Amino acid sequence: MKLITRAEELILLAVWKLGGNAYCVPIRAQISEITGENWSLGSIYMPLDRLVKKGYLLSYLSDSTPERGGRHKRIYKLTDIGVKALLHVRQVQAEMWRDVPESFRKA
Amino acid sequence: MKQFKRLDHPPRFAECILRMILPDGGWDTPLGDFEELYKNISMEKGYIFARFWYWSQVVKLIPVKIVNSLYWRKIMISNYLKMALRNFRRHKIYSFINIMGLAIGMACCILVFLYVNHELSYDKYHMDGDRIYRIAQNIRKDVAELDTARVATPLIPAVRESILEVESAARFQLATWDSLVERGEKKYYEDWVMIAENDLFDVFTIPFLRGNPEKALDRPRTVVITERVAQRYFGQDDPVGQTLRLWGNQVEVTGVISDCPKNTHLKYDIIISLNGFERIWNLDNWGWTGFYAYVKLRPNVEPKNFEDKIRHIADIYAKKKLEEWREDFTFYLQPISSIHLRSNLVLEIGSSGNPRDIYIFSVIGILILLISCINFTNLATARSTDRAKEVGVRKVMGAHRSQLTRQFLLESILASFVSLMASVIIVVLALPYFNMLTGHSFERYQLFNPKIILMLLGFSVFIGVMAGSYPAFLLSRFMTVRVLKGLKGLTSKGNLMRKVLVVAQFSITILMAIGTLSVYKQIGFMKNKHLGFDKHQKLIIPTDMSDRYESIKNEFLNYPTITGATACWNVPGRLTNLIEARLVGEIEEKTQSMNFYYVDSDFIPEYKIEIIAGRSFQKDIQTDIEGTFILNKTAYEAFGFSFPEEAIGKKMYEGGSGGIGTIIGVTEDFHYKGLQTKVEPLVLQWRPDYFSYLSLTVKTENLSGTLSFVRKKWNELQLGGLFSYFFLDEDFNRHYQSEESLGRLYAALTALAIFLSCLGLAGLSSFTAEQRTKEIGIRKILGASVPNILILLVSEFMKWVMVACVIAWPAAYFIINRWLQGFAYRTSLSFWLFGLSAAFALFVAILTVGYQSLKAAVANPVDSLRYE
Repeated sequence: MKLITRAEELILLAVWKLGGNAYCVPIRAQISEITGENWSLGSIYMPLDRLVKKGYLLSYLSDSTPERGGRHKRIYKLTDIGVKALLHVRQVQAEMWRDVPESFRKA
Repeated sequence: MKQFKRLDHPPRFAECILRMILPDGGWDTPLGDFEELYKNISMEKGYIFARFWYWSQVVKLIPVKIVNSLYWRKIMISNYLKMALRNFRRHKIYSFINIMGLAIGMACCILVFLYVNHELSYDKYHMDGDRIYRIAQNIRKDVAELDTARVATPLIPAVRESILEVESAARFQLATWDSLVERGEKKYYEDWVMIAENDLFDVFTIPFLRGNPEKALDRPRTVVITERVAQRYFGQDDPVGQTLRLWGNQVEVTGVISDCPKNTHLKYDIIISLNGFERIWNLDNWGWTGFYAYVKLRPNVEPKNFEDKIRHIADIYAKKKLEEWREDFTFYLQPISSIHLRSNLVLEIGSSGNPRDIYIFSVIGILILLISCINFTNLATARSTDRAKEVGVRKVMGAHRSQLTRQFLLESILASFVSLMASVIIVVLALPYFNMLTGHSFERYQLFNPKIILMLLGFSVFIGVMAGSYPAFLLSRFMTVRVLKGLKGLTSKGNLMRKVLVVAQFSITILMAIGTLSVYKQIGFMKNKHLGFDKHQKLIIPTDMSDRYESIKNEFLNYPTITGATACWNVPGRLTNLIEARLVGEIEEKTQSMNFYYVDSDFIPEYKIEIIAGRSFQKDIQTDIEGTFILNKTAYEAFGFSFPEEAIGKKMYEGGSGGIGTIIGVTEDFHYKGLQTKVEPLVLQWRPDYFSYLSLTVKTENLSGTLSFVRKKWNELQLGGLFSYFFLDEDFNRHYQSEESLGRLYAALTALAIFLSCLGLAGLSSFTAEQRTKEIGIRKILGASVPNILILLVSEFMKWVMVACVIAWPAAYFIINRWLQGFAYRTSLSFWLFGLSAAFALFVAILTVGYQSLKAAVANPVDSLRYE
């Protein structure tokens, strides 16, 4: 299985955490908060699109709400392969970190 | 609250841009996201920051979008180009017709543009041209009124002296007599000799190559000559300081100026100083409208204010005289750039342009272009069946409709670019002929200025879009399934459109044909109408005769083929002397401006002018010289007489030399000017001192012998100057030059229009025939003969040409009627012209369609039925 990028990983995790309310604005908010960087909407859209195309995410339109000027939200949901991809990347990471000396890890 | 609401929403304009940037159909959610985020930020950091943020997002997106789309477009465009080229190559004849047709239309348009541009450029080159005005004069006397381009001689000194708004003011006179210029062996007549002062160079932009414009015309008998004249008499030498002989006097050249540009109403070859002329001319005479007057106003002077000041300036300087003459002078301004096209006063310099011609030409240029665009559109739609499969396949492969439209538009723009190149070549090749037709002299380099090139490029894109939009729209609309299944009923819409276009095309063509025929008819009418005098076989020789004229006449009369000889000041068709005339001793002394001709006693019989009352000048009555007048019919009517006999014996005063004489006769009106104008009052006077033309009536046989005799005799008698001659009828017909060149141009353009229409029709009919190959085959098998099929195919087109006639006739009637109104004497509008042009259009159409149809009709049905 092909590895996903870091941005994709972050987004998949955010989607998973947000549960039923995973659309662009909260995803961006959460990632920006945790990373401490200001992510633009565009930098969220691109990986989101890619992930949908790869099949890691599903998307559907939810009801429109007034605070969005009556526009729909596009809600994202993790698919099974999405979960697998996340687990896969985590496993690879763990493997990679395993033999790194403790002293280095702490620094 | 309202304020809050507005700010609560992201900036509308930015949102709008964002919507355009985002992919089709996908903008709904992102816009929502952006709006929500905008509100969050607005809540946290204030709406100003939020707005700024929103805008920055949009701006950041734009370059990405452009680069992205360009990349994809490049790929698609190269594909479109490839397809277009393949198509060009596959249908060579079709493409050739298409491109050549368009190219000819474009070339026509470019030439018309050159012409119109030239006409509109008159006098625009003068520096501060917007401040230069000509002063024209309106003379009112009782009921008679006259507007002249020349004004009272003392006007300019008066303006210079009393009006501060004027920066500089110039006056000049043009020699109306022949100007023989000599230097050693070189003798030529120069056309335009201007008599002027140094101010001329302040008002107009006349660049000096040699000499000082401020002092050039200070002294008497100094001249400034144009480069061309300098070259003629001095070759490579420096003419400044050298002398020439002008009118028999020694004059010194003090300057060389550039040649008179073509786009000015001014005319000059030689400019001679006015200084010194006061000895022979009375320059203080307010009654002599002798000079052209121009002023350059100071910057920021309202011309209206200046005009108010000069309007009645004559009342200040010459009130007494005006009362005595019972005349009223009004002066007014004409912007210099408007003179060529808008002004047509008495004594105008040279011939003025005609805004109507320009208008007509522009319209014709556009019409011809329209015809070729129609061809383009028509052929493209006719061929749509060919391309339908391609469209279908493209659609199946996922092409958007907009992409297909773009592809076909690109194709037509490409074709129009190729046509543009071809048209430029055509223009370059056709320029000499065009110059011949219009009498202008356009140069190739005039084509290649950035303004024109830019215009041409824009032009070709525009034409590409215009001609290509309909097929693009039509082709891209095809339903995929229907296209791929079969082509039935596919082009019915296109058929209707094509018919409408053919009708439009032929309406234009027929309209132009009728127009051309009418112009020629009017010219023929003017040339052949009896003028009231005999203009045939009159050989006119400019001669300085003074008091020897009787003996000179007799010398020439001795020759067998010369049957008559007379002398005159000027010949009919040329200038007249405009002089005031008034009856003396009447209760009501009506003063009129009248045209004067000074003629010999035998002029009237020689020219076969009909006397309707009184008598002609008698050779043996010496008092007839100077002391008598003969009026024309219009003149006695102008004096208010009801019968010509009433005028006989009345005393009349003439303002030229201030003499009083008796009216001894009245002639029938004769046309001493072109037939465009009504006959004006004319007075004939016998004044040998004015004679400058010898008029010989010659027999047509052995003309060359006569001519050589005349030349020999002329040299023998030493009649001064250079021998030259012209024939009166040719000279008179020069009045119709502008109509003739108009006619020639119309004819050429009409021929082109017909050619283009036929080109289109040929293309169209060949496609129709092709489409109906099967039908024709089946008809033939069932027993249809070749003529049957021919009629079948041809009649369809005939119907539409007929409809075109019906549309073109009323339009032509209206337009030509308007044109003819411009002539005082005009031919009737004859309806056979309408029939003829319609018949011609039909004939040409049958010929074109017939050829294609014949090919289809004689084809072996076996082949045609096998054709799929």
